[in-house]
Amino acid sequence: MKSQQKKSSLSPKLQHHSQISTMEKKDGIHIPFDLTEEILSRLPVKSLLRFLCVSKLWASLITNSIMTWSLTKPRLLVILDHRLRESSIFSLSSYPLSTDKESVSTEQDDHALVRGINGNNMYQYSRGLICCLTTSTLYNTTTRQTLLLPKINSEIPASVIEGFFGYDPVENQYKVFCMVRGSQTYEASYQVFTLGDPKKQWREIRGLGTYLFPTMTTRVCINGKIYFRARIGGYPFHNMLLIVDVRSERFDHVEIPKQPRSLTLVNYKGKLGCICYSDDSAEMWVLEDHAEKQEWCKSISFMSSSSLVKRLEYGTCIAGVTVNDEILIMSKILDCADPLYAEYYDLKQEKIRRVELESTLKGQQKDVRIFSFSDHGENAMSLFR
Amino acid sequence: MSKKMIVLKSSEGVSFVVEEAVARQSKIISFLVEEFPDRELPLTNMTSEILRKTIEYCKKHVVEDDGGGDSSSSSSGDLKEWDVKFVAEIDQPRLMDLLMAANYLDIPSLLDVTCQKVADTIAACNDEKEIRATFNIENDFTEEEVEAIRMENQYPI
Repeated sequence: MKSQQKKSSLSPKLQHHSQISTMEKKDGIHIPFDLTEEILSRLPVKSLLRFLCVSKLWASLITNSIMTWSLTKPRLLVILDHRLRESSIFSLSSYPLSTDKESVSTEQDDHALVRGINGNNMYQYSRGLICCLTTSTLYNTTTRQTLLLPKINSEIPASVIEGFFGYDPVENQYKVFCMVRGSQTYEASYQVFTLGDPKKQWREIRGLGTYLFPTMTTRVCINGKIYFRARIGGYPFHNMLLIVDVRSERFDHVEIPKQPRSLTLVNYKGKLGCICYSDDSAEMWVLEDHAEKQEWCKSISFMSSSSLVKRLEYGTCIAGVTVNDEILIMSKILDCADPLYAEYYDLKQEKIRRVELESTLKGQQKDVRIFSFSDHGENAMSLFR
Repeated sequence: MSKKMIVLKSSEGVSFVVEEAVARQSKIISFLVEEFPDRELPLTNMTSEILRKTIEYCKKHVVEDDGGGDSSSSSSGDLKEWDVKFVAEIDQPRLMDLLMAANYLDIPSLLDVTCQKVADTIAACNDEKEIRATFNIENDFTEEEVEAIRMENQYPI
C-alpha cells in the first residue's frame, strides 16, 4: 500500500518531460515558477523588502512567507529600554538561537526611536511586532515602522491602563486589549484595538466584568491566546492565570498549578509552560488545552537545578525556552561594566552554556532595562495597510 | 570488489556509465534503481551537457563508505569551497538548467547550492527593474498598485 502511494506520487513528476534547457529559448532565462519560493526564502529580509514591486507573485510570496521562513530559524530579540531619558531608544539584537559560538555579533537598530516617557515602559511581543502601551506604540522590527495607537476613551478619572497584546492566526489579526481602571474607585472598562481596522478606534468589550491587577511579569501569546498572571478583584488576594482569546475577545481564568515564590510563563513547544521555582527546586508545568477545559500536567522537574535557581536570583529572568529544549536566561538590567550574556540551560543535560552578545552599547549607558524574547521571527506586514 | 554501475541516457541518446552510489544521490534515481534494476534510465528531458555537470557534482559529493574513510572523502570545508567554485564557473542559463535538473532528479544539496547562487544574484540587483530584466519577469502591476505598495511600505532608512 505504502509503495503504491509512493509510486503514484512520483509518476506525474516522471511523466513531466518538459525539456530542461533554457539554452535554445530565445527569450532568455526564467526562474521556474515552482522554485521561486525556494529561491526567495534564501534572501535576507532587507533585500526582500526592497523587491516587493517586482511582480504580483513576488509581492505575495514575500509578504506571506517571510514569517514562515524566519521562524524555521527563530532568533533572540533584545529591547534595551532607557529608563531615565526623555526618549527611550530600543535597540534590537537578533541572532540565530542555534549558535555554538562563544560570541555573536548583534544587529543594533538605532533608528527605532519611540516617543518616551519617564516611567516603566513595558514591552509585549507577538509574532514580529512589539507593543508598548505606555508610549501607545506598535513597532514592526523588520520594517521599522511605528504606529501610534489612537487615544483610549475613558471617563474614569485618574485611571490606570493595563494592556495585553496578541495575534490570532485564524483571522490573521493583531489586537491590543486594554483595561482602564480607576486608581481609587476600582471600576473598570475593557477595550480592544484591531490592527488594520479601517475605523482606527478602540472598541468597548465586555472583558472580565470586574477589574484585575496583572503582575509586571511577561505576557505570552500562543496560538491565539494571551496568557498572564493577575489578581482578580479584591480580597482574598490570589493570583490566577488569565487567558484572553484574541479572536473571540473573551477573558477566562484558571488556577496556577502552584503558588511558588517565582513563576515565569513561557512558550514550550507551542503550549503554555509555567516554570515555578523557589530556593532549591524548579519545575515546569504544561497547560494542556482541551476543547472545554484546561489542565496542568507536570512536565519536567529539574532535579539538580540549584545552579539554575542561583542564577535566577541576581537580576536575571527566564526569557523563554528554545526549540532545542534550553531555558534562556537573560539579565534584566544592562550593567555597563559587564558584557551582555545570554545563558542557555540545557534541560536534558542540566548544563549551562554562555553566549556573549557583542553590543556597542557596552560601557555607554546607564539605567537600561532589558526585555528579551526568544522566538522572534521577521514580519513584512505593513502597519499602515 | 567491482562497483555496481548504472547507465543514464541523455536526451541526445548519449549514455553515461556511473557508479550506482554516485547516481543514488538523486532520490528519483535511487527509487528507480530499486524498482527497475539492471536497466538503463532514459532522462529524456536532460541534455548531455547538463547531465554531465550533474554527474560531476554527484561524483564529488558521493560518500565513500567502502574505502578507508580518509582516502577520498573530502572535508566539509573543502566541499563547500568546491561547491562555490562549481556554481561560480557556470553561466546564468546553464545554472538555471542545473537548478531545474537538481529539482527534477531530487538532489537536495545541489538544489541548495544552485538556489543560493540565484538568490545571491537577486540580492546583488539594485532595484526591481534590474531583477525583471535579468530574469525576464513581466511587470504585472499597474502604476497605481506600485504606488500603493510604496505608500504602505515606507520604511525609515
